[in-house]
Amino acid sequence: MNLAEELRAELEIPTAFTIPIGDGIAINQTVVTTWCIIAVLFVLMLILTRGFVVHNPGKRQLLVESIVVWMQDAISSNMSEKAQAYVPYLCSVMLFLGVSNVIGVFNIAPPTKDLRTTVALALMSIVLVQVAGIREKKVRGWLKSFAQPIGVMLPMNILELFIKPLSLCMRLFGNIFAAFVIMELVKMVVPVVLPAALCLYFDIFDGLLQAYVFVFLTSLYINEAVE
Amino acid sequence: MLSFDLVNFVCMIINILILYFLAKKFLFGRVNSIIEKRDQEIKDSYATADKVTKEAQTSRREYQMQVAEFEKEKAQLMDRAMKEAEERKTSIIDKANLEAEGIVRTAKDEAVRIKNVAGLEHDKQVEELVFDVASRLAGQAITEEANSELYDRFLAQAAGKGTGNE
Repeated sequence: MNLAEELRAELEIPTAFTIPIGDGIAINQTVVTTWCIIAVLFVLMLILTRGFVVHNPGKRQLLVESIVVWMQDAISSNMSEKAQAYVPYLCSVMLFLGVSNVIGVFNIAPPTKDLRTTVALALMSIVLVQVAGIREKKVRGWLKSFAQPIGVMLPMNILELFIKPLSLCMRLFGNIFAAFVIMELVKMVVPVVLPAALCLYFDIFDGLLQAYVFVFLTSLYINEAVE
Repeated sequence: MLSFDLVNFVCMIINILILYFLAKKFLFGRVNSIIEKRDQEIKDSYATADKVTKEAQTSRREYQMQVAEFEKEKAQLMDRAMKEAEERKTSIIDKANLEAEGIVRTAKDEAVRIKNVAGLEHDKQVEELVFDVASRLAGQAITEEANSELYDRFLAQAAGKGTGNE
């Protein structure tokens, strides 16, 4: 098998199992990996938040509280008072993206390497943005906002409705996909030492950075929608 | 490689929503609830401290007002007591002066009376002496020398009686 074929094989999203309904519903590896991530995160949440107390918290509780407060502050600091209700969703997405992007370290294909994941996230983000706008401005105000600041901007604003999620989706997918391709190529060419060093950048730094960028942009869009 | 199917796409949306609800309930909910409780307790503590401080300030003001009231009352009582003492002092002194004047007057009257009584006694003695001398003269012949001796004795006796009466 030559290099191109090996790479093509690595980039394929294999089917994990098929649900025997009708012609069979194929559930791919990304969905299963996501289930595993959710299960692991859920177990960690239960273990880490067990026995939380108001007075004299232990080191574990202080660590969890510090991380959660830091995450919430990092996101809510970009958002106005009206948009604070969306902070838990954005924190959850950041948690998911952070784990999904970094999971490549354990030689597991990141779910964000699959276009379906990034499209789903981008679609949910943009739906949330529009829902936030409608809740704040009501339907009439939301519709009017497309013609602002002047009526001639109407086509641009309608286009923006599709451009924003597309850019969110493609930026995340492109970065993670490209990182995965580069890492696979490096592993094929130089299997030792170099992948470990590059992994620090592509899997950890870039993964966490892209998670933050995705959430940061979504928070900006929500903030813009409610203002 | 870049395939897209609706089933897995919907599965991903559901997965993300499940993760959101789990994180909201079991992570952010729990942590925020504890932090809110702690914040509430801190706010309650501050509120209690403020309340106690205000109560203490009110009590202090009341105490100061009471002290001021007592001071005022004390000053009034002291003034009244001083006035009463002054009046009593004046009254006692006046009474004492009156009594002293009475005593002095009585003493003077007594002295005058004693003096008068002494004068009368003296006169009576002189009279008795004169009468005695006259009786003796009438009873014997009197010579020039005897007469002179008699006068001398009379004068000596008179002088001796006068000295004894004083």
